[in-house]
Amino acid sequence: MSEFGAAQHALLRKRYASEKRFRRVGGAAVLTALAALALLLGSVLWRGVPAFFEQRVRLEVLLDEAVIDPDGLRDPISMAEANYAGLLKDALAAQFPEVSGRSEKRALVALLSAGAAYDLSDYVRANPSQIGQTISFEALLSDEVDLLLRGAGGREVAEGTRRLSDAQLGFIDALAERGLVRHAFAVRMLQTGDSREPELAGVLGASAGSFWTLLTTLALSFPLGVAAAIYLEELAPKNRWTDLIEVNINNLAAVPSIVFGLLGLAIFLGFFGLPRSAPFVGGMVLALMMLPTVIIASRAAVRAVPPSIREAALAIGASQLQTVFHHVLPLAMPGILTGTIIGMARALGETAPLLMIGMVAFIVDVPSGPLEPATALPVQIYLWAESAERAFVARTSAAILVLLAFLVLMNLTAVLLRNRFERRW
Amino acid sequence: MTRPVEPALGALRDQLLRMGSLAEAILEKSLQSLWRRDLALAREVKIDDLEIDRLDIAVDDMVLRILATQAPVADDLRNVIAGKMIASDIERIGDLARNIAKSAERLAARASIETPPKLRTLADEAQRILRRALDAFAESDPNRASAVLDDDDQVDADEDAVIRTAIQEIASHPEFTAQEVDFILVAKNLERVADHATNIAEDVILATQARNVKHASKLAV
Amino acid sequence: MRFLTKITSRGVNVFYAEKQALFDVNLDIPKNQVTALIGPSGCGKSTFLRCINRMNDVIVGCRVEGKLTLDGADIYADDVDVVALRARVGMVFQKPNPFPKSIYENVAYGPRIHGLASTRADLDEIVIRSLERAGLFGEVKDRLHDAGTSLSGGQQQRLCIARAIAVSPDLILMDEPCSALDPIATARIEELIAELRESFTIVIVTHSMQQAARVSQTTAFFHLGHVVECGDTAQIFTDPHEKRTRDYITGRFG
Repeated sequence: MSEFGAAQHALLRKRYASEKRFRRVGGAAVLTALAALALLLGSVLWRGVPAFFEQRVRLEVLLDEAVIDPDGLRDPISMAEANYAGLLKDALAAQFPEVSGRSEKRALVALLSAGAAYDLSDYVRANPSQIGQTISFEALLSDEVDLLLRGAGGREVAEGTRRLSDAQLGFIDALAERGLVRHAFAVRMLQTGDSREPELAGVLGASAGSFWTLLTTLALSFPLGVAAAIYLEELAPKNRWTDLIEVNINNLAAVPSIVFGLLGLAIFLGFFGLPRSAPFVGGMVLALMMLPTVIIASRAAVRAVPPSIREAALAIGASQLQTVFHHVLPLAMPGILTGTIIGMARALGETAPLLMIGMVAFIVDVPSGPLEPATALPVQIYLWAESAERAFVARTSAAILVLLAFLVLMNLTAVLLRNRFERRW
Repeated sequence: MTRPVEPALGALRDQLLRMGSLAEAILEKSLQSLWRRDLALAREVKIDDLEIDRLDIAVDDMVLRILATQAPVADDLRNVIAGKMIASDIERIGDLARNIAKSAERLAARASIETPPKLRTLADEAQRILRRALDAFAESDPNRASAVLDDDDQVDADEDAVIRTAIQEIASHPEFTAQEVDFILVAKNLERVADHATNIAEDVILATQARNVKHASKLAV
Repeated sequence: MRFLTKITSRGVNVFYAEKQALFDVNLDIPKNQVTALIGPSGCGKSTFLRCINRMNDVIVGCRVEGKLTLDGADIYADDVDVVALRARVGMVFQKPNPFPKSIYENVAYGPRIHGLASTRADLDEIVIRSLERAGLFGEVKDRLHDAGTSLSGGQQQRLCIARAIAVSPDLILMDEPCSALDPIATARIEELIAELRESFTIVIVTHSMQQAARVSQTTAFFHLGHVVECGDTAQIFTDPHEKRTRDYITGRFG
């Protein structure tokens, strides 16, 4: 080996320098990405977490039997229709005995949410033995009060331009001073469907809708996609037709999702007359969208299985299908699952195709199956973001958090599954 | 492209050719010492034979080395094996020449009597057979080797004749018994030389044609 | 010396698309012997081997003409079940390729899919016997459920041999089985081949002439897709009839 002269040293130094530069650039890129991610998550968390908490006022409510169950039959249906709002109004009025005027009283009552009455009704139904007694009940306050108490309500704005009057402000402050206002975790956020009232709106409806949709998507796209990949890779003859199919599948993966929405609208709804807003239809549309991704990833995974394994299986007398299912597929599973995760993640966040097939309606009930009308999380986020009410801002971010949690859960499951398969290899 | 085994085979061959030439030379020398009753020449033969022995040991080493390192097959293998056998035969010829020289020493020490003419004939035949066998080896020519095989019978006959004559002479002139005995010994040694030379020819046939023609006369019976 | 013939090949020509790989191969593979196929790279010996268990079927564009029989029955007849054929003709490859499953599962897979064992106990017995015959059982009996790929190269190859013999084939094809192994592992495999000869017919493709000379009784020399010479191994290596054979085995070409 020849001596390292000055020229070689200079060259070497340049090489080290460019390596260092490259590493710095790479590190900077990673840091930038992390920073952007932190910023994004941070802002969503900042805005969304408050939506998981609600403001309540503790009142002494007399469960007047005359109002709730005049007949004394304890019939749940008739009890449910009793005037619980009136009971709450009385309880609130008791806090402010000086309030007499009807409009003033209305203003006082307006501080409560409509849902407070429903909560009381649920409470009575669960505890019928307490009818006739006075209970300490936490009544839900309205969304404007919630915003005000959080400091986002706009005290600084003049009375005419804000939703709450000065008198109402006075009532709220008085209640707060008496220590009756409580800030608690809002379980209803996760337990109820959408509502006109922001404080009553929850993500369960949309979550269930997304769940049924994705279940349909997975059930359709995974078996079809994997089977198609196996067929194309292992069983189909290699000729011009299969080449054409491969090109088309690759192209389909890049088609904008709204096109699939249009397809769903025209064929599933228009031609087959399937119900609108059903997660089943949404699932089918998303499955079509996801199929090319699954097929491409599965084909690549199947192709990556070394031919020596196939040869060993064939040589021992396994048929082609046995070779594929006993040997090739288990080895290709990690790759297939990766493709599926990618597809499902995309499907979870897709809004456009779902809008096209009508999963945009205002659905209050939580769907219990894939054929009931529902909405999906991304659609719900979109609807809430469009809403005029200020309080929906927090809920939009909260829904985004739920969506992200969904995503993380899905990814975790898939990664665990993938690890299980990978260990055998 | 030279195969790895070729230089080794070449060296073996050269060694054998050298041994062969040396054997021919000392056979001639030993016979000359006999015809001329030359003591000095007879002593030289003994020293020359040592050289053949040394070459034989070198051949042993070469053969082992080639077999171990080259794992030769087909004609290469046959050449190596035949080479070892030829070396052994040449080495024996060297020993036989030494025996002839010893007889020459003894004859030189005693009263000189006429060398039987048949003995000279026998010697010429033996030398000729040896030369032709060595030529066949040098040329790797199986036909020349085959030709050698036919001459062996004549040599046996001549040996018998010499022995019979010698026995008669012993009977009629017992005072020359010692010399006649030496003549018998020389005859036997020359017959053995021809025998070994024939072996060399047979080895050449084995190497070139993969035919083993040894002990044909005995086995044919 | 008369022997029974296991495989006969008459006029076999093999094409890969337009390129011809084997020309008019006429060969008899004797039963219960080891037959070695030797020849330089690309001479067609592996191609011929893969015709016997029809592994060439999976290669696109491969065409086989001529007659190839196993125990007298045409291998390429229309009604031949390739799966059943491959259960009768086992194969061991150049690079050991155990399944990424446990050692037990590797050996049990074949008997399982061919229905050779009706109970778990039967299957256990087949697995143990195959591993014993392959000379591997002693080394793995305490870890039958470890991954097959956790063994050394030589052990993996013996596992592949155990896997092949577990389905009780008549014939075992070996495509350069020792070329990826060290000399000690190679010696063990050669010893194993000598033992297996009692019950199986073995055809082995090998690049090593010493190996062919050591393990086989019959040797066939392939060159450029033709069978140049086929005969008794000792005969071929001491006095081959064809000049090409002699030139190849003495290293004058190849």
